[in-house]
Amino acid sequence: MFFGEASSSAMYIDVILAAIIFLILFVSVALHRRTKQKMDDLERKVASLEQQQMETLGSLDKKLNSVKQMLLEKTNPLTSKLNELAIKANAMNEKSEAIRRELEENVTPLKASVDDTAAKFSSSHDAIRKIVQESRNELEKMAKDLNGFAEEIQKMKDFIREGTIDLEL
Amino acid sequence: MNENIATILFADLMNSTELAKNLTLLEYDDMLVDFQNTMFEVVSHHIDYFGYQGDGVDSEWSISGDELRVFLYSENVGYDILNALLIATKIKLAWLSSAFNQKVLNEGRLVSRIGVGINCGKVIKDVRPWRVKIGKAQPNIEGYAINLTKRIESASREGSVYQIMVGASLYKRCQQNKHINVAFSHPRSLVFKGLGQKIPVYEVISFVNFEVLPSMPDSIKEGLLEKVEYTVSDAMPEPWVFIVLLRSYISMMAANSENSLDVKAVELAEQALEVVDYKPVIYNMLGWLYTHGENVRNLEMAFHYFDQCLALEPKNEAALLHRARILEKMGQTDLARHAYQEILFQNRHHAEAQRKVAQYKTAQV
Repeated sequence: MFFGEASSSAMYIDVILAAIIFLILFVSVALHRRTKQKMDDLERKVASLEQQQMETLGSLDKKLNSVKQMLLEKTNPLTSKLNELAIKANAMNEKSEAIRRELEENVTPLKASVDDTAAKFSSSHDAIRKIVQESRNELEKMAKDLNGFAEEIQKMKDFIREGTIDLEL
Repeated sequence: MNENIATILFADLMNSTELAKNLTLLEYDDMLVDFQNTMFEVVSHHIDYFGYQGDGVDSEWSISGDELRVFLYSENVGYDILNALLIATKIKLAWLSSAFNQKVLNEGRLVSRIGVGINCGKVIKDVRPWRVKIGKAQPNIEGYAINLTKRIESASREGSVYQIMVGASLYKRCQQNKHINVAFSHPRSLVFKGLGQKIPVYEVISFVNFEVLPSMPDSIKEGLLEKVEYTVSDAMPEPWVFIVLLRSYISMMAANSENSLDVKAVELAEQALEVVDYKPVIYNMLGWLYTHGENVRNLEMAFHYFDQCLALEPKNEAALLHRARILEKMGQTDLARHAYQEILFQNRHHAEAQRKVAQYKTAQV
C-alpha cells in the first residue's frame, strides 16, 4: 500500500514538473519568436532610416556643391580684383618705401645740419641771453649807482645851497 | 707822545649845586640820568655823523656827573671848531627839549641851562703807564689849553645869549675862517683862579648853521621842532633858540617843503628882534624872508632890513651882497654896480662881486 501510494505521488510531481518545463519552454520560444520579430522590424526600420540618411546626405552634398559652385562663380571676379589691388598695394608700398628711403637719405644730412644749427643757435642763444642778462644786471647796477650818485649830488647840492645860505645870513 | 692842536669843549649844568639842594636825591638823580642820556645821544651820534673815528684817534669824549668833555683833534682845526660849536648848540637844544625839562617847562618853572666853554690849543696825547697797568691803554690828553677851557666854561654863567664862551685862540681862528657864520660878544677880561692874569673871554651871540637840527639823532629829532616852537612861544624865549628856529624855517623854505612857512617865519623874526641883542643876523634873516618868501615877497622891505643890518655892521658882507642883488633885481644898475664894488672893497676875492663888476664893465664898453 504504502509503496503504491508513494509511486503514484512521484509520478504526479514529475508530470507537473514536466508540464511546467514544457510551459516554460513554450513561453521562452514564444518570447524568442516575438523578440526576433521585433528585432527584424527594428532592422528594417534602421535600414529604412539609413536609406533616408543616405538620401539626405546625397541631397546635402548636391546642395553644398551647388552652393560652392555658385560661390566660386561669384567670388572669382572679386578674387581677381583683390589680387590686382594687392598687387597695386604692393607696388605702392614699394614706391613709398623707395621714396622714404630716398627722403631719409636726403633728410638725414639735412637733419644733422639742422640739429647742428639748432645746437649752435641754442648755445648762441644761451650766450646771448647770458650777455643780455649780464648787461641787464650791469645796467641795473649802473642805474642804481646813478640813482645813488644822483642822490649824492642832490645831497651835495642841498649842502652847498644850505652852506651858502648860512654864510649869507 | 703826540702834540696836537685840539678843540676842547667843556659843558655842565648851571646851578647844579643849588638844584641838588632844592631837589630830593631821587629828583636830582632823575635829572642827572636824563642829562647824561641826552649828552650821550647827541655826542655819540654827532661824532659818527660828522665822520670822526673816535676812540682817541681823532676825538674822544666823556661824561662825568653833570659835566661833558669833548676833545676834537682831527688835524683840521676849522672843522673841529665848527663841530664844537655844533655840539654846543645841539646839547643845549637837546637838553631844553629833554623829558625832564619839558616837564619843568610845562609846570612854568625855569629849566636849568647848560654852560659851555670851548677853546683851541696844544695838547699832549700820551698813554700813561698806569693806564697800561690797569689794562685800559687809552691816551690821556693833557695841557694848559684844557685847564684854560675849564676856566672859560666856568665863566659861561655870566653869559646872557648862548652861554657858550670861547677863548681868544678859538675867537681868532673863527675871525680868520669865513666858512663859519658865528658872531661873538666883545671880550670880557676875566681873572681865573691859578692863572694870575686877565684872560679875554668871548660869548657866542650868534651861530647860524643849517645842520643843528638835521644832524640830531632820530630819537631826539622826533617832535623837536614843535618843542622848540613851544619854548619860544610860551615858555622860555631865549635868544639863541630864535636863531636856531629861524634858520630851520629858512631851510624848509629853501627846500620848498613848506610854502606857507614864510608868514610864520616873519612873525617869529619880528618877535626875535625884541629878544635878541645881536640884531644884524635877525635883520638879514628878515631880509632873506622878504626876498624869498612866496607869500611875503617884498624887495623894498628886504632892502630895508639889509640896510638896517648895515647900519649896525657896515662891513656885513651878507647884507652888502643881498642889497646889491636886490638893486640889480630892481633895475638900479648903477647902484647895484656900486654895491658890488663895495663888497670888493671889503673882500677883493669875492667871486660873485668880481663877476658882476666885470659884467657891468663889459656892458659899459
